[in-house]
Amino acid sequence: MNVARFTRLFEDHHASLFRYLTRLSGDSDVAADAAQEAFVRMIEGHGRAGAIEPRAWLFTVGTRLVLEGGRTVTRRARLLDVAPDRAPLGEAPMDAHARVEREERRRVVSTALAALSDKERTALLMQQEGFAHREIADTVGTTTGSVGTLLARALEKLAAALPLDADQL
Amino acid sequence: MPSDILERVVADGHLEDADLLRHLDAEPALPQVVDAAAHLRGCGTCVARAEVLRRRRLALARLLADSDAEAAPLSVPKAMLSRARARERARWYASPTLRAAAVLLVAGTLAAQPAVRRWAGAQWERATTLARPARRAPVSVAPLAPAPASAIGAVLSFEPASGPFIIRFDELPAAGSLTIASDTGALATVERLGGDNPELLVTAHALHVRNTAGDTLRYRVRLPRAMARVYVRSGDAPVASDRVVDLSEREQRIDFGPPPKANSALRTIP
Repeated sequence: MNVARFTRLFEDHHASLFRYLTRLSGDSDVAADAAQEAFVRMIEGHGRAGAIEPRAWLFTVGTRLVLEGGRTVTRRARLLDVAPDRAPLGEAPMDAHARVEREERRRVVSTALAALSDKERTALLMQQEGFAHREIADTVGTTTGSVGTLLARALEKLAAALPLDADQL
Repeated sequence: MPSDILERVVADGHLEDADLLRHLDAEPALPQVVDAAAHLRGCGTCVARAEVLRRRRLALARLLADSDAEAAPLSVPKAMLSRARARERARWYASPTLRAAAVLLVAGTLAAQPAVRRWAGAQWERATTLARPARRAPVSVAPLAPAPASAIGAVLSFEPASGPFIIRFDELPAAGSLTIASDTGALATVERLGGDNPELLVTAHALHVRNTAGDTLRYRVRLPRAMARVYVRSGDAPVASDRVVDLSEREQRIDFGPPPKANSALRTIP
């Protein structure tokens, strides 16, 4: 892969990969590391990089890095507990009230997502990023037909934990 | 209607959520399921349920967007770009045809002048260096054990990721200093120059000093110049008014402690 193509892929997909991995792991540091590692593996031509659709490949590699790095995630979560409301990198300062609200929202959503199984969470978040059921199935290691069931189960669990129904908004 | 189709429609004669979600995602229905679109044309209950699912998804998308963390960098980190370039060059050198040509060239020039032999040797060395796999930044380096209390001058070394770096103190130290130096290398180091010795946690993006307010701390942190931005924080507040340390300066120091010096003033060491 030449540098120009790599640069274009990075600019096209890094932001959404980072966002997805942050939601998946609940930790932006873990997400940043995993996203970087996925792109490094793409540079180095690991696995089927280049042979399949690059966005799906990056998301699959990033997902595995996050899920297989569970112990790292737990360790970092402990660190976050020490400073749960730390200021995000490079983000404009927010007023205290907005910041508290945002942190609370982040905590509630993160807790609800963490209660899902890895497969349910991955399927749900990949669907939110616009992936087809076939691509989701490849990443979570199931059949295309089972993805609808995973999504339905995940959505039902989240609806019980988050204000997703119209009368709750 | 075949029996397996009847089995797939739930007991009360309506589609399952999984089938409705497949329909909402424009995915083809499973072979054993009735045509969802056709079913929805004649079933108010399933239409209402599909609408509930659609609204839940929209609400979830809004909630996720509202609670997303910080933005990712917009451009390719320089370190990653260099690696891609090195890889591209390495691939050129790794080509069997080109390697064979290089060997023939080297053999042919062996009989030539010593200067040519030296040049060929240098080129070969460069080619083999580039063809080696590049060292990859670790996914995580944390946590590292703190240096022993007596070990003034102890150094922690790690490979930081590209992008901004945060040095975070749990509390503003009572006294001491933090010197931040830039370096052209890829590794970062934290050197304890004296004072108390709280636990340090190092990740690819941050150094976390788990100190208390009464501590006296003296550290020198050396970071790759390519990182460009360093945030120094106490809890969540910036330690210095300049909050972002500019690594284009050779070395900068933050002094902790009471006036007459301005508290935590940032100054450049000439």
